[in-house]
Amino acid sequence: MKSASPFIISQSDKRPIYLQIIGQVKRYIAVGNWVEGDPLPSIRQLAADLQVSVITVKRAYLELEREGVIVTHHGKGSQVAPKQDLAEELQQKELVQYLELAVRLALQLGIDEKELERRLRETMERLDERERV
Amino acid sequence: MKSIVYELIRKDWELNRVAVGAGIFLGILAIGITLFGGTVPAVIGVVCFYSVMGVLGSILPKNIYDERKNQTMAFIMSLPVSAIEYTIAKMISTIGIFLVFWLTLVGVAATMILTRKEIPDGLIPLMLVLSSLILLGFVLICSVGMVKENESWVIATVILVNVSYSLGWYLLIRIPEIGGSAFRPEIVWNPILVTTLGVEFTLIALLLGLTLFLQTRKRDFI
Amino acid sequence: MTELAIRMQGVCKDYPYFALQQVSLELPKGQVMGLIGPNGAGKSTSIRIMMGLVHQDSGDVEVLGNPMPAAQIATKRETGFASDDMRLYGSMTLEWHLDLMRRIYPNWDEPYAQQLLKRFGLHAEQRIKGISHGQRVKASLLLVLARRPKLLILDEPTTGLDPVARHEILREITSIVTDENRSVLFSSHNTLDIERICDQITFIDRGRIIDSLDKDTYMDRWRRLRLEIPSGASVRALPGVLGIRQTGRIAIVTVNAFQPELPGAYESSGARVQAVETMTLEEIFVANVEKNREEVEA
Repeated sequence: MKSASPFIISQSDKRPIYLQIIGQVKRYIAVGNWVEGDPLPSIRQLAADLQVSVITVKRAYLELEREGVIVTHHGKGSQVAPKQDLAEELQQKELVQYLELAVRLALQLGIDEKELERRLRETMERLDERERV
Repeated sequence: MKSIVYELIRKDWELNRVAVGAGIFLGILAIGITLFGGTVPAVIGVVCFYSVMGVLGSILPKNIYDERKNQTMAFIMSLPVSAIEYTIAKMISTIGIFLVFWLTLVGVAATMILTRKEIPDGLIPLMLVLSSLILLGFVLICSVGMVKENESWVIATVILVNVSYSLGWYLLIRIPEIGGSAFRPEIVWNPILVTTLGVEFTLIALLLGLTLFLQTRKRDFI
Repeated sequence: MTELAIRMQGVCKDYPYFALQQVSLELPKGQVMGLIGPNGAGKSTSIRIMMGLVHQDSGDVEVLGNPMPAAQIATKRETGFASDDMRLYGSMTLEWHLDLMRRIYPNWDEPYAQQLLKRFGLHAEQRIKGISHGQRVKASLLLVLARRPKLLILDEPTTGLDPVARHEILREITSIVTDENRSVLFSSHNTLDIERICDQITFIDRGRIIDSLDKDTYMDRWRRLRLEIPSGASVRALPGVLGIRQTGRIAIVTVNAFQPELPGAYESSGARVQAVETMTLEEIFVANVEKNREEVEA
């Protein structure tokens, strides 16, 4: 069992708590904190650690299982799903989401494809520099 | 693991530790004066003792209606206890404390009457009848307190009872069979005396029974 | 068939100026139920009936399988109760109260009691009348928690407490249901707390149950739609709509039986749906009560 409170629920985050839990589980997996086969905290224990209702954690776990992120064995709890490239896959999915968001925002702001490309290149250069420094 | 009734009685005695302690101290003082002083200090001692009883008679019933007044009722009734057990414990702890003093008083008075030549032994039956009236009065106050759980009702009953004592004593003494043989040197029993005592104690038992009965029919404890 | 920690069915209780009418609710074992309602709604009365402190005029009540008030001793042995209008004995110390509990409850968990004393910042040698309101609430809770009760019933446990104390108490409440055989029911005005830690929500107003279901289903039914309508038009109340507030061309529609097709239905009737928002429990609370009052006055 992992340490006492692996996640924090933010009160100022407007999203429903179960979505926050889902997001944090996915993040843990994406960065490699948890790998395939690692056990997740029991539903009731996580609920107590986060001080949220059991029903909320149940919902998050159900959703995670539906998405194939975790596997639940009746009586044995839940583990990270055995998918080698799960971390990468999640990150890929995230990238697609962010790209779509960027494009939507650009459209709303009236930025055309060329301008968007220019900005993308700019951003990549800026971040690349920071990493070297 | 002792029964809940025992724990509740113990709880009440511990809550009243100051009153009980003071009472015992004053009581022993009074006994000392009574038994070992001359006649006049002895009578004063007994009168003091009666005063202590009177004060106790007003203070002790507080235990009963205080539970509701101080809002500790919910705390007690949320413990694993039934209405009957609560009532029995309350009555035993309250009347019990009073009984200790009452028995001491009766015992001291009886000893004084029997051991001193100048006090006629014939006073004993009368003393018993009058003292039992005090006990009856106290039980009535406690019963009203238990059933009504209301400070005003109890105060009214206390006043009524205290006022009735003088009247009651006067009337009882006037009955020839009760007061008549008081100044004889020997103890005289007659049917009227015995019946009177019997009535007093029957009334006490009836009051207690009625209180228990009414308590079991209570539907709101808060 | 899930086992129920609490079952109330058609409970009625008459008072001179107030009456509980047909109150029914069910709390499955291992769950936390929040009881919310305005002041005077009947929360405390319902709770007292569950504890046998008040006997119902009619209706069935079963707590931990025990019919109430007939089998109240069995219930009280395994239930912990604390309410904000309950008092301890002021002239005695907390230690004296703890000792009383130790003698009465065979399940008393002394190490846990000591742990709670430290965590709550309480001193056992202190007299009750000398401690602050918040500490007194925590003391009452300690006396109840250390018995490890199967069911915890709390009437406004966090009212009047500072955020830290409130947080401590919520922590203890949520830690109880890590055991799926233990359950909690509490009443509160703090809709934020209830929204967060309760599995079941029961709404009571003016002696009647307005809603009683699991939190997710309940909150999923409520939405606020922001509509932009053509000038001169008015918004129709489609099925599931609780209330509409219209100012000129903007309408705010409160929905308490949301179906995914609803925004589409409004769009087809000519309105432009600007937003579909979920509602907080507090907003739901206010909408419910206002609606209930309207209906009563009508």
